[in-house]
Amino acid sequence: MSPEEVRHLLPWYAAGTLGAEEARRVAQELEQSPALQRELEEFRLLGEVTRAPAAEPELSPGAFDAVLRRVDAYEAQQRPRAPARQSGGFERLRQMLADFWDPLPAGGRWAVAVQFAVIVVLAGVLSAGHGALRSGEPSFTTLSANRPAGSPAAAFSVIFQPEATAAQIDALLQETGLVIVDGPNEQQTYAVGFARGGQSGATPADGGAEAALQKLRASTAVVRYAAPMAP
Amino acid sequence: VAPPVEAALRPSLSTADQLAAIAGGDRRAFEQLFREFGPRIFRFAFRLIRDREKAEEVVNDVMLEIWKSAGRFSGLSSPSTWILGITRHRTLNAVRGKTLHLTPLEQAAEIADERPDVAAQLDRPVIAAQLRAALDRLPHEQREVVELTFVHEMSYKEIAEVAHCPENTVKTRMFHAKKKLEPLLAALRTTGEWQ
Repeated sequence: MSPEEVRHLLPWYAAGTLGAEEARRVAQELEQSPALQRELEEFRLLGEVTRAPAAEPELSPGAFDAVLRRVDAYEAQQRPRAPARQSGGFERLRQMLADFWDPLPAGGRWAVAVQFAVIVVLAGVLSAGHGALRSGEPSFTTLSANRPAGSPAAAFSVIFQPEATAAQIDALLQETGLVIVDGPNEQQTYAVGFARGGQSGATPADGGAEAALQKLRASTAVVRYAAPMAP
Repeated sequence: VAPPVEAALRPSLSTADQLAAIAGGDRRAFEQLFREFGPRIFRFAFRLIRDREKAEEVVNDVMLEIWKSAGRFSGLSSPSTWILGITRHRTLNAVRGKTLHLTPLEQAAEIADERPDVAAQLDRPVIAAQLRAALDRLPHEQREVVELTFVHEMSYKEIAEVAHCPENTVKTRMFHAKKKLEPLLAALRTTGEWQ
């Protein structure tokens, strides 16, 4: 490292943010250069003056409330968006179908109707088979959507470790008497709640909620983050 | 902002954990992060734009952006680099098209090197005040490098990430800032111990 390169590193040497190897080399050069030592002292003074409290205003005491109001407004804006988009989408779909259907001759309409009926029947057969395979499991939706009636109430939001296996997650959920109620959302967060009639018998009412939360948080190999759901 | 008892009793999370919790909608983690970073964001913005109201708007914008994007923090940079990167972007957006206190780099040559008043040469607090004023007159690219180095304790690599420029540019900006402030720094150095 040339003396010029060392000179350019002096500010971060003075601030203590150089890597160990660079800091060692700068210290070496400093030992033999009074000019560099003078520069270092000036950078230290520059740091002290820059950090010294100046006559500047501080963040208002109500600043966090203002931030929360923005967050609430954002969240409120997010919620009604889906149904609005949906109705607009249905309207566009209806218009597209009308544009397609109206110009068809009577024979063409019959052909299209028969094909549509076949598609509906096939879809019914497929979904019946799929439902049979998954019978007994809760249906999965996004966290923001309404849960199906009768599913357990969400107690915690949980982010699992990316490397955790399905078997590890399953074992932990069984041990804590929890089941996945919803998720994952965009941030890979799941909502979990107490299984009805679960093996552990833990319920929110008998203090099991706190124990389950502690267990989740302690299982750091499987769980990255766990917190009670906001009411 | 006075911390609620519940938040005060909660063990503090690392900033990366706070971001993970915020991605899960945890408002207490959001508040903890605000307590740590709100004043830093404000100071960074205020020192660049010298307008309290606008600096508070920047704090609002940055915190909302954190709320919305915490799940996208990848951990490739440090959390503070990520947050100050958003802050810098929002601050520059807030003053786009306005001069305020942003001295453009191309005007740097028009600013004479800062020299201490002759009468104040032995008065350390006066020289320090002159130095602070001179810092405010630096082109904003140079001022932000000085601020990020000494106030936010960032390495030159982190500053390059925040400012979206090569590492050598960061070093050059610091070099030019120092050159401009040199007479005041030399005067400060010769007046003895800093109080």
